[in-house]
Amino acid sequence: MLHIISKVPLTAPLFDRLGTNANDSVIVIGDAVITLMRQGEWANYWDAVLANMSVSVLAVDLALRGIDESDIVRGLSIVDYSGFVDLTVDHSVMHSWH
Amino acid sequence: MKRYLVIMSHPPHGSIHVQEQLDVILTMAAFDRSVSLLFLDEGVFQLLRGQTAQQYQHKETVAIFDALALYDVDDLWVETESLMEKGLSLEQLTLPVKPIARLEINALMSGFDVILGG
Repeated sequence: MLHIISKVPLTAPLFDRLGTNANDSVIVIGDAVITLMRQGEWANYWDAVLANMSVSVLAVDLALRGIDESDIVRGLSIVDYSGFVDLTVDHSVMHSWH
Repeated sequence: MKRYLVIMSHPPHGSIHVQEQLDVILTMAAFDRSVSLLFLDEGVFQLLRGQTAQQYQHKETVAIFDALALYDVDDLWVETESLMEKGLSLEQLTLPVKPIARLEINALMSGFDVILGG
């Protein structure tokens, strides 16, 4: 399953619902990219997700907000739109979390 | 046949969101799709017994929920933690709903082909 996260604020229950399935992937887009800040309140939650599954972030949404790759949690894949499309092709089931 | 899961997480009456989701569910059911529902967060209030929508000229969404069984939409799930956090219990709900733990949500979702709502 591909989990699409685009909305803020995030909540702790969301992270529990993502599960720990290594076949799943997460992509962070839109407003939600601001939650990836390495020094931010959600960094530990993202580190825990990254321990189990791959997490991608849409490059344009970082650039748009002036967020540098060095500002965000380590271990993320930074993808462009075609990378996003690839993820949607690789996963037959998708869900946009609100 | 594809299996559909609709996630119901919006509170009732404040917007037409729930009505629109019910329209989607009934449409899919009318075409004999296999539809299951999962109630999360504020969405658990959608099933609270004793709503008085008709009295206040609101759409009576609870009546539609009650009718879902006629369309074979009877695989209903509610997240245990959501119920507890909102101060509700299974006994207060208008339909028989299966409880599921927050940490099991991902496993439940993985069993479906299409996931809608949220």
